[in-house]
Amino acid sequence: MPVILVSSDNQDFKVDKEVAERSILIKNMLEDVGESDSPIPLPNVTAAVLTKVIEYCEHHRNDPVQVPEETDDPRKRSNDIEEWDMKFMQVDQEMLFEIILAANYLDIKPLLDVGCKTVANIIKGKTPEEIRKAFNIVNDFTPEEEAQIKKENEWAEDR
Amino acid sequence: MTHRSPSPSPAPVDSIDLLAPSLCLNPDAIVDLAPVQPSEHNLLPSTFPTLTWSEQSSLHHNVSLGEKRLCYRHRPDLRSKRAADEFQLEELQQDIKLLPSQDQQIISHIWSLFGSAPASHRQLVLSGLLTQCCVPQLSFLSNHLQPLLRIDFLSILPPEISLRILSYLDATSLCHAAQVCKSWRRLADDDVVWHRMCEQHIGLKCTKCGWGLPLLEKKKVRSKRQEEVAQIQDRPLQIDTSSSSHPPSPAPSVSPTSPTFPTRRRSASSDVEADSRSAKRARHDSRSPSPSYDSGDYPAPLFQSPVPPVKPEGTTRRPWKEIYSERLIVERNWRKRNYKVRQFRGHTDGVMCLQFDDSFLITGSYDNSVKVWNIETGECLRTLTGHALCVRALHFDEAKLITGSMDRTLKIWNYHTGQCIRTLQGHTDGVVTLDFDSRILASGSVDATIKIWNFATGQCSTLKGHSDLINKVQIYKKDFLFSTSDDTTVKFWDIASRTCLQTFTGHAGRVQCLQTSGDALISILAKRRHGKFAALEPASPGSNAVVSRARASSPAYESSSSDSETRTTRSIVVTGGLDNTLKIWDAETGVCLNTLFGHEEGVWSLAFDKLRIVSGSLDKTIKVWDTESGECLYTLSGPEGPVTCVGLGDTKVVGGSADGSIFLWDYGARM
Repeated sequence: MPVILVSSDNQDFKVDKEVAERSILIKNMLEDVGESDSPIPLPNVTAAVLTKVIEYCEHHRNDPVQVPEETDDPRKRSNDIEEWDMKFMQVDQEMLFEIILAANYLDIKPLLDVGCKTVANIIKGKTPEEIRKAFNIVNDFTPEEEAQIKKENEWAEDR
Repeated sequence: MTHRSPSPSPAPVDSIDLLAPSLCLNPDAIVDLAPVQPSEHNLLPSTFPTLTWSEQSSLHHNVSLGEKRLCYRHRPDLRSKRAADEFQLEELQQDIKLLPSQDQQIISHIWSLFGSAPASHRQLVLSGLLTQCCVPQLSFLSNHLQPLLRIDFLSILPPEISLRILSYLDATSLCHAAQVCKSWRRLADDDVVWHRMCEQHIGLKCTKCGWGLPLLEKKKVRSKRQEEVAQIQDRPLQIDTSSSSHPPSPAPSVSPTSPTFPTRRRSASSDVEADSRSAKRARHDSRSPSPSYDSGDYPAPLFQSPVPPVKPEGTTRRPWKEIYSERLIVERNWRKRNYKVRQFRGHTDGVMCLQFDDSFLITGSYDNSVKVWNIETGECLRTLTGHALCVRALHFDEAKLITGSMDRTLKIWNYHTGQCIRTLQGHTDGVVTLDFDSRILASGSVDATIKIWNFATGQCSTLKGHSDLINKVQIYKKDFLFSTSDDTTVKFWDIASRTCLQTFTGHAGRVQCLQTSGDALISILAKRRHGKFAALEPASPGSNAVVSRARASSPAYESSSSDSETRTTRSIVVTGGLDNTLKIWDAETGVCLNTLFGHEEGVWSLAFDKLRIVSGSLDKTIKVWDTESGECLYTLSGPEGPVTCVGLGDTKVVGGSADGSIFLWDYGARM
């Protein structure tokens, strides 16, 4: 049975229940409400973002449901992103930001993970100055502070 | 009119947004301002006829969006954080001033109208503009959009998500992140992030990145042993009868520890962090490599060494980042061979056996003596004499030292006082090797037998099966025992039934040395050859049949790192022989997982933990190997005779030689 999701800008999205239930938030809502045709309002997600999120859930509709502990096990954590997800995440930073927020709000752990990993991969391997450039950040340290912090972190250099 | 707010005085936000109405991509921020209020920054000349959006459009807009939200670009709190490499309004105004005044007015008006348009209209306007753009203009847009769309994720996401992002970073990237700006620093130095890093890397091989950091854990074996001691004092154990009878008789003279010494309690909550600061004792006797951090109570030392007494701790927590960095430096020292060499001088003949912990190094020699050294200062604290011939084997815990000698006896010492507590006789030839836990003592002899002595009852039983002298015994998981022999085999025994459960064959020469992983699981890379695991070829055909019972199979964690290698964690046994090789065996199945080639002469001694194996050889060298891959990392030299014994700690390698010398390579952090 399809479920109707309503974005913050009042667009309706008809999706399979199975797909919608990748979101734990929606899954719990549906369980609470029981059989019902009433649309589910998602006031925190715009149509553009919801389109992306549904695309993700469609693709992963048959994935096994993750056990919560498993995702928090550091041994299972990895920076590998599967190819489809990697392509899916090739969006501008605004969209990436919105997807992360939406995944967090809708409680879609795997999507949140992929989003976080994507940001982590942007940070990885960059110097502090390159990181500032990548995210348009102003260095708010004084030169003395900067020198001090650089010294504090020197041990991590030179692998 | 589009004024929603009747207030004549603009909110603080307004004055900021007025500066750049034309650049605002999200009208929510400025819808209140339209039509543009008079302002010195206003681009629109006041004489220009005012065009405004219909009330309906702004109404619709307000209703549909409900609550208002400032977009990332126009949040006043974030503006100051962004680099000033965007379009500057002032510069645009300069450019405009070069135009004829009518054109100036039109452009200003277009901007102004766009700036006051609601979101839905803006998209329409932009779509219309896009359809009219020539390719160079589209190209201009595409070049300028990317930089404008940059977002400081960590500063604006909820902290728990920011920390999640950081938890995917390596140490170097985290340290770079900490240098970006103040808000990043707070996040990147967060204890949660570094605790995770420590969990992933300390005391084990990280399955994610494949390397690990030393545990530097200083109480693990002690607390466990103490538990065992407590058990045995409650309930003596007899092993010569069937395991069902445990008569509660009082412990006779061979009691493992004096129960009278005072115990100092320490906070059970203290973790790894507190340890490395103070001088505590831990067994680096390489018996059970790095179990995960456990905490618990342990007794104070019987003996007050020159080392300052343990200070009460647990009150201050060190940041996990500091702990990580300290261990990373140690690990780097190991990798880059950055060590300090020290020597212990005093023995007048070959050194045959050694063991050390954080305070003491104890060595046994062909000069018939045992020496107790302060491992930090190198001072010889005590010389124990009494054996009539060469001391070939020793083992100590916090209370006692047991030595085995070619004079066919074993002696139990209080090494804190130098007193010999008891002499055990029974072997018909020299004692070459020994091992003990809280309940039993095992000894191997030139007479080709292994004897099991029960501390509580004083009873002794014999394991027979090897056809030549025993070189090494080690108790395994309390009820079992591994032994190696000059007959080139390794045997696995069930102590209670005194039966050999399995014989590992594969060495082409005498098997000199052995160590088990005890309760720890070790990460091993098994290489595939010709499409199947080389490691799965049975060590000796038919030998697996016997091994069905008792050994509780450990949960092997497997992960495929590449097509040709599979990383598994398992219980292992490492042996070294006079065939110049070391072999790594699966302790549960007896399958040989890896053979390490490199020594030019026989391997006499070895020790290992989760990260590395060290081996001493007749070729006068010590080799350091990677436990997981079996690769030889490098060779340490110094002794001028065969290296007969080695010990391995988190920051130290100690080697004793037949030339009487003792070398210590110290990899400790020097910050």
